Amino acid sequence: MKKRIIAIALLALFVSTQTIMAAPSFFANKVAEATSKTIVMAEELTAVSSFDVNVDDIDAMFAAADDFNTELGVMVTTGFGSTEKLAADKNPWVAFILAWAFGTLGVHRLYLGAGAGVFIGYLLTAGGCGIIAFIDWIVLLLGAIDGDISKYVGSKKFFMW
Amino acid sequence: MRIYLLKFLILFPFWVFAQPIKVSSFSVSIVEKTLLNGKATTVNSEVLFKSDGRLVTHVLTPVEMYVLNDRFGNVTNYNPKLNTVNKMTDPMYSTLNSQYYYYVTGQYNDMGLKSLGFELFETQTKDGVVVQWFKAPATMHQVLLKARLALRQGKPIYIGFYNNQNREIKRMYFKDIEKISGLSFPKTVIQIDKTSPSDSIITKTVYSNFKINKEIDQKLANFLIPTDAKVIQR
Repeated sequence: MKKRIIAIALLALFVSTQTIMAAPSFFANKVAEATSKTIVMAEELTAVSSFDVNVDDIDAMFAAADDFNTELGVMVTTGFGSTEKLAADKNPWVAFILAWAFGTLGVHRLYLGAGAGVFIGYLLTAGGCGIIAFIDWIVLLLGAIDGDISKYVGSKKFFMW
Repeated sequence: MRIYLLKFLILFPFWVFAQPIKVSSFSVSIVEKTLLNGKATTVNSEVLFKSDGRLVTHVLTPVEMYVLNDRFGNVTNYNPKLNTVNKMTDPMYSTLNSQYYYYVTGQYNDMGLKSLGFELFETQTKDGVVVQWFKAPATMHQVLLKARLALRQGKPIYIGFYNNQNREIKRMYFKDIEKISGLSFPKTVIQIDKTSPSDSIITKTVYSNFKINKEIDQKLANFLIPTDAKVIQR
């Protein structure tokens, strides 16, 4: 499980670094090819108009994806069973990946030691219409690049930034 | 006089039945799917909301848990597998801040933007769609500059968020809007978060099995945490 998270983190590191540096390389292209199943311009694929979307296209993308529920279940169960276990290892890239993947569920806040309350707050409000989780994702990315997310660790506040 | 009385007796039942039923509680099933990098997750849950602010959430997968909230911000989380419970209180978690409260009170027309500190600065109308532009609060400016909300017949159909380089980084579509006992409710919500110029996280949320008042899920309405549950301090 840990190896898997690290592998995903490394993949994200490469993709994100390439994006931020705005210098696509041969390796980045290979990564993009390998994950092209969902690395798509979602709005080009699905947009019907500026304010509408094609749900059939969205469903087709979900149908083609692999299931990740078991891993997520373990992650959440571990978090509720022993928050300390997750909070003990506060790798910035793991936090960033969790915010990326499960931001609206607030799993990254559980990882950062915020406790179940913040996690549940996210669940109920969908992270403030989802935008709070997205801002979390960006500030964690910036923190991960700097290698320091200490100011977010253990924050019990709803807005961790 | 008789004719007026007759008209009244004929029309009164129609008037009574035409009135929307006051919603004092509702329950709904929710399936939320998220897609990232070729992997998909699904969270299944059932939610019950009462107008007094009591909110019961039963998450079925990926892990079962119950969450009880109230209007004062009290949160109680119960894990039936471990028989553990933890509690916390924070006004931010008041059910008055939840989307369900906005739906029940019919106040969801700005999707909570104003309560998050956004300010309306421009309104446009095109092809029957009202487009409103909101300025983000200063605390979000390092990431967000503004939001665009589109309404058709007064109901939100789309919301988009723009970063400080004026690029749209997040969009949500509200589909299949149904009116149930006077309440407007989007049955499908599609969310696209752009994580890079060429990649996105896609989330699809489907609401179903909508029940109101006496029809609500009684098991969920009467749910109580076992008295022998072990209290965990966080």
